[in-house]
Amino acid sequence: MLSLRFIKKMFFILAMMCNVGCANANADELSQMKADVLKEIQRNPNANVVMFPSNVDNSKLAIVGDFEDLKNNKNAIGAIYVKKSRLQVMFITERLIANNIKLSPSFQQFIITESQLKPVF
Amino acid sequence: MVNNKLIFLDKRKFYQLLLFLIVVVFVLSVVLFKKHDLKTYFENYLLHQSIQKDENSVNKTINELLKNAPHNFVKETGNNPEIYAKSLQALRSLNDRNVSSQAIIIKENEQYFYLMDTSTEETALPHEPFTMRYKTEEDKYFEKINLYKESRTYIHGLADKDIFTSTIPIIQHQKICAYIVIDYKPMFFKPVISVLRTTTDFLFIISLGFILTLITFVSYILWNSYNNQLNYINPQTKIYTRSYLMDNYDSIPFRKYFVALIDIDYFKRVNDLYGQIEGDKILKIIAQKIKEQLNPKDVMIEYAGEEFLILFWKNSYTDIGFKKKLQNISDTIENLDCKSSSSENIKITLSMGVVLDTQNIKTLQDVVYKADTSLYRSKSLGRNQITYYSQEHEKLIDREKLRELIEQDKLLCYYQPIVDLKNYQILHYESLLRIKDEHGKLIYPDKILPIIENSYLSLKLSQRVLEYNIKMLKAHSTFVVSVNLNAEELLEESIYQLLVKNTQFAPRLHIELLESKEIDYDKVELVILELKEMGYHICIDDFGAGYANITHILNFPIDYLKFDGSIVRQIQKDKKTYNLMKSITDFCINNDIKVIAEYVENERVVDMLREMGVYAGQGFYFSKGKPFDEL
Repeated sequence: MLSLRFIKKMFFILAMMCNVGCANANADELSQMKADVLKEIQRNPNANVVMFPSNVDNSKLAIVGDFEDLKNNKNAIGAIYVKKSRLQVMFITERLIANNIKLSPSFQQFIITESQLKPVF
Repeated sequence: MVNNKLIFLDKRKFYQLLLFLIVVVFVLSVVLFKKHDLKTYFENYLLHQSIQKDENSVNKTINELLKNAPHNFVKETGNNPEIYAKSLQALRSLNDRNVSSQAIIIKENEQYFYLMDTSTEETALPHEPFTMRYKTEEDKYFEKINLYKESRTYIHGLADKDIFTSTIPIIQHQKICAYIVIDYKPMFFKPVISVLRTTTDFLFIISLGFILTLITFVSYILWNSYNNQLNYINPQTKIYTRSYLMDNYDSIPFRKYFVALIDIDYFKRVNDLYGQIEGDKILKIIAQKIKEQLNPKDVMIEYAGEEFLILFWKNSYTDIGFKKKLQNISDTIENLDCKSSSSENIKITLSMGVVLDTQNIKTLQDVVYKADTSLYRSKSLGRNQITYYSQEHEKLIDREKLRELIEQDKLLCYYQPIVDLKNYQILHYESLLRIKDEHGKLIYPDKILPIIENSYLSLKLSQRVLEYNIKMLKAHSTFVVSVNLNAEELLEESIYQLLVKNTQFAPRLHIELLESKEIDYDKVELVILELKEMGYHICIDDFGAGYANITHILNFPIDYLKFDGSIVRQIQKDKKTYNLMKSITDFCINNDIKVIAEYVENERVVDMLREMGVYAGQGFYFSKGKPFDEL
């Protein structure tokens, strides 16, 4: 329950980031927010979801900062990153279900399926 | 002064309109400067124009892409590595020094994914999400591209990093199957966009300035119009002046009104009797009383000194209700307890000419003309009545037409002989007025005089008749003629001077005076004495009718007295009339006044007249009026 609350909090921050981004927020401000998130994680060593892990830790769920990591790391439940100045936020529905994580319906727009990770057209 | 046609019925309407304009300006400002929609659109449009040359190469690439995968672009390209490689190669051909990345995007379940990406940095993998369904700026442009099926160039970006992107739809089988997304290097477009933004700002400032100028100009016109409106109202009577009508003839929707022209009967007499100030006071009261009876949408206009033009809003009345309303107005004024400053009761009545069917009339001028015709009908029928316009009234010659005919010198005189009853010798001729209308048809005095009565035209006409006859006297040395003049016209300088300048014709020019009630006879008597000294013969005309007063025979040094036809006609039937005429004739004979009788229609009348000592006669028995050439 605790971790879920944490994820919800993160989502709240990210949703804000998205809006700020749309309104042309300062890049430093964005980096600062990312740093704040990381600090939050460091303050919680017992957290069972890791944001932007530098090393792959198979024991913990992760929200990664790259699409390739999302594809390759089965513990990654989602990814948040910026590519070509476009903010990308996504969660894989199958991995959320497998880890018994329920997201609020308002996050539905960020959800993709495992099959969409594979380049099959 | 701005000559405008706007009509404000009250000050409140002006302020409402001004408030509306302010709201419009406010809304425009919000749209232009808060939402930036129009500004962004304009910016994007200019940007699109500046990089349009790339579109041709893009079209070539699309053709090549579709040639590689002719049936199902997405499936064939995505699943066939050979086609994928060819397509990637085709896409790379778009690369130039201004482009930072080119990608093909596909749409699946309302989400956008990369199909391929040619960039070397931040390269997206096949089927990597492009934008999710959260509403970014780019999503909005994609919606527009889907809607209009045409390319868009736009500026967007995260944080303070602008991206200049062109998105071109790839259309296969009339459907958008994918999109080419080209991101341009900011360093290349930054100077362009800076110029664009400055230009856009400049244009928007100019536009706003133009709008503000326009609004100021419109406000100025409206304000002027409102002030004009104030000038249109007579401060005394609080009703519209004639200039309001003149300036708004074309803009008044007269077909929505019944139109009535109202004249105060004999108001000149009120002015003469009680003075101009008293007259103005009474006029104000009458105007106020009429106005009180009108509905708010009715319009009352001062048409002339004591004439009002009233437009009655048709929707407020039924035909019967309207007629009742007019009768009420007439009754109210007639029963008005109007007193002069010396507490004398002044009875005021109204004559009205009314047009009910304004629907089929072309102009307001025509309506007023028709109302005027009906008003004169009311006057000629004895005043204090309402006449509703009908075609029949057109037969009456209107004053305006008469004025034109008189000014065009269309008048002429016929002559009727005045015959010595003893020997039937012609003594002289009476000049009879005729006016030729535009069709050459003669108009007779009975249709002229009632219309021009009490107007400046009456004097003008008399002057013209006098001039006409002086010319005849000049041309024909044995011709003797009598000319009719209203007694008060002798007091007019123009007539008097004409007679003074032509005294050489005085022995051959008889002046027949028509009496009227409203003149200073002491002054007239002095003028008659002067004319007599000049050698003119003076005759009192129409004696026994109208205002003729027996004391004038005593006071005026006259040469002739002409009995009115109404008396002469009666002598055959009425003994009393005969006796009265005989007595007056005797009196005249004893005082060296020659008596003439008009309307002599048969021999019996001639005998009776001769018997009573009447000197001369005039009438159809001797001859009707004829042109000079036929005498």
